[in-house]
Amino acid sequence: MASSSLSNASLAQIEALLVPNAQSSGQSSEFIPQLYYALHQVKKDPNSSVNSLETATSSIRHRLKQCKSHIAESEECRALLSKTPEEWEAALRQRQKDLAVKQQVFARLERQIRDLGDH
Amino acid sequence: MSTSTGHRNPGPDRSDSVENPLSKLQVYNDICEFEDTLGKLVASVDRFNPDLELARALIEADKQLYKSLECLPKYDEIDTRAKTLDEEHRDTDEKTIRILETLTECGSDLNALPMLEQVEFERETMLKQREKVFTDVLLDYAMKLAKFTHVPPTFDKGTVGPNNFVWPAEDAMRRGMLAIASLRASEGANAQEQQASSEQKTSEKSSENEEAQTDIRSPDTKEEPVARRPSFGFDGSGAKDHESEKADDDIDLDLDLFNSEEF
Amino acid sequence: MIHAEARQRSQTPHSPPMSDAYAETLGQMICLLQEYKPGLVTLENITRLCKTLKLESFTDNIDNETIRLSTASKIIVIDMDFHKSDKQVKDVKLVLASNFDNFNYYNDGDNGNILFNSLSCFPNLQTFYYNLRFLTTLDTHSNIETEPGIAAKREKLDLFKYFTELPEYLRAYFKDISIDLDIKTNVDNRFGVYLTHNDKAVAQVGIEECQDHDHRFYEFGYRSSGWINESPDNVTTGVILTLQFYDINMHIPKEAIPHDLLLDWDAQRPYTIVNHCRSTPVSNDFTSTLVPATKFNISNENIELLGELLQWAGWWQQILHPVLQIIKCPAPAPGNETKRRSSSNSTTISAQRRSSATRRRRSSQKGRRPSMNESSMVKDGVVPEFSLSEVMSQPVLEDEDPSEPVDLALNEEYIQLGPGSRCDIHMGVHEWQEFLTKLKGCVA
Repeated sequence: MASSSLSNASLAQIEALLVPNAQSSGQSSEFIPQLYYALHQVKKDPNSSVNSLETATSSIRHRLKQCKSHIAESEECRALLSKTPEEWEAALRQRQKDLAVKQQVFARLERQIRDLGDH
Repeated sequence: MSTSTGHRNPGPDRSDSVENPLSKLQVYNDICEFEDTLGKLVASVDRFNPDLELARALIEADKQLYKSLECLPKYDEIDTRAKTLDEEHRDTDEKTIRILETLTECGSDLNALPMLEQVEFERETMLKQREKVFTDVLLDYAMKLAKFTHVPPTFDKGTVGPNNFVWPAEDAMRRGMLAIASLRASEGANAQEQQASSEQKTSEKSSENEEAQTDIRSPDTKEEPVARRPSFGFDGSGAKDHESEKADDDIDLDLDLFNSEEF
Repeated sequence: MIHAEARQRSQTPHSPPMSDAYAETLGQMICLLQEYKPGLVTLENITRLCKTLKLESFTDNIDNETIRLSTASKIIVIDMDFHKSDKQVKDVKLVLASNFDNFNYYNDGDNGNILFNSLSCFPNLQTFYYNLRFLTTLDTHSNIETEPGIAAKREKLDLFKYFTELPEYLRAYFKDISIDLDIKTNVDNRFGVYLTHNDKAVAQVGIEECQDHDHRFYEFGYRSSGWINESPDNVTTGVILTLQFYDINMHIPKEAIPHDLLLDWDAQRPYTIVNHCRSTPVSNDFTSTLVPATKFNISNENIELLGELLQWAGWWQQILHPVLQIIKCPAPAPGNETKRRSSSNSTTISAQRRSSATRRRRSSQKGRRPSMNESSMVKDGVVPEFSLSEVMSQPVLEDEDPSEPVDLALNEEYIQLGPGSRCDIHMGVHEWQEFLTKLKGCVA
């Protein structure tokens, strides 16, 4: 099984469900190829009662539903994906600034204590 | 905020009809759009009415979906950075809290200690107090001790008797200097009441009267020869100035051996 | 419920028309989806692709290391060997069941095996699909004797052979009519005959399926200085010979070519000749409207149009279009992808090019709401923005202009600059360039 390059497990799950990977083609998630092949089979035998496009594409629909419920259930996923990357950049920049302020406070305390100690 | 692709008919589990937060997720909306279009396409084929336009729409939905999915690595990187930042925040918070806690502890510890000046003042006062021994305390203590002590068997009680008292006998005391001084003090006081304005020792007298004690000193004693020994204070300071002696007496001389009211 | 009823209906003897249309639409759907995303390079996807193109496929274990996927049709047999370990392609061989063993499936230039490269150099099967479709088209529509004993068909045309001979015919033809273009077979891992100028691809000649399954395709070769069909028995059906130009701005005079030969023209978007150049008056001497067209059917006798078309293309690209751009004539905006396609499935290239052009244009329009606000009009470029210093620094136009404005007359086949200079379609490239330089000097 090829491992995902994504370190966040939640995102990796989405990728595993939707993005086809040539190495792990056992569980194929290539929707369009599956669809056109299914259409081909329907075309060959349109009157078969068992061979409807619905049944042939049920695995696709199942995957899509799986992915949707995964996103809906994973708070981490939702939180991450509810902002655009641009919005995230801004949020992270702010968080970085906040961190710098905290670190300055800490450094000042350190300095003051050290100065006290020197007396 | 991320925009959702234009959907025509919200399906049963379409995000904007059920859960609002999900409608902000581009990927979620793209999946829904793909799902819907696929469903319509499949239905049209199974109903023997295949619609080529739906195939084109599906291709567009697929393009959109995979375009959104291309952002996953970016989100992953953002996630890693966010987690690192969170950790750094936590670290810094922890360090700062530790310092503040320690400082607070030290502060309370220091506050619990008494102040140096106060300590010194208390010590001095205590020492000064210790210098003076209150006679009633002393007598009480002696009385208490007396309850639990007895005369040593080797002690000859005979040696303690009126003849051996170190102090003068009562009648001797009545005729002694203290008694005379005391009599004269009361005479002098009466005399002074008559000559209030001319006497310059009113301050001394008033201080005596404040004490409300029979003062062993009268203005006359000042005329006593210097040879007379001043009274002792227990701090062994010996001869003291008359004024300061007076001051001392006023403060603490409780040695009321002779109380004219009693006798 | 509905499905069952519909199926009942289709099973009645009166159903053929519906199921034909049904199958046809499904076929188009499949084509659409396959062109878009044929899939990643996996054994499963390749097998499915072959099946949809009506090829028989089977796999065979060659040895411990190798697995072979063989796919075959009437004539072609393709053997694709894969490493068992990593499923990567090891080798690809093409064999024709006909007696023609000279079929070239290698790149011009680097001599790479284009079928092998299709499976190893690309992340998905798009190139492989293109090539496979090309081969199956030739296979399906070749009339050849494949099995001895069967009554020999009178009509014979081996398209593989024809495709191989075509470049030589073209070379001879171009030499005779002085067309300065190189001919290359199979470039960039794609089957085809490519016409290039200074290593830049100008057009492509191909054999494609057409919608009319009965369309007769005769074998025309350039022999004895002419395009000749040696025998009417050298014929097949259902294919056409196509010429596709890469210049997406290509326009032709509407009346120049019979409309049934225009495979992707759009009558709705003529090139309107408008002069936006302030200094030069232009007289419109056009006798025909220019319409966009890049793909042509040059089957059978129409192959003789090849010379005209290539000459027109040169004229258009090197003179006429540049002149129109000099006078700032606005090009018509590309329309929707659903243009009238009179026959043949478009090749991947034309579809890609067309769609990329339309998509690009559409995305630039997306989100732009018309605004009557002056500042946004300025931003949108509708109203030109000037600052006071700009206005003051512009040179004052002298009323007495020493040089007279030069009159420019435009016709689809010639351009007249002033009284003395003229350039027409029949001149040489050298003269065209000279004229263009002169024109650029005259026009502000």
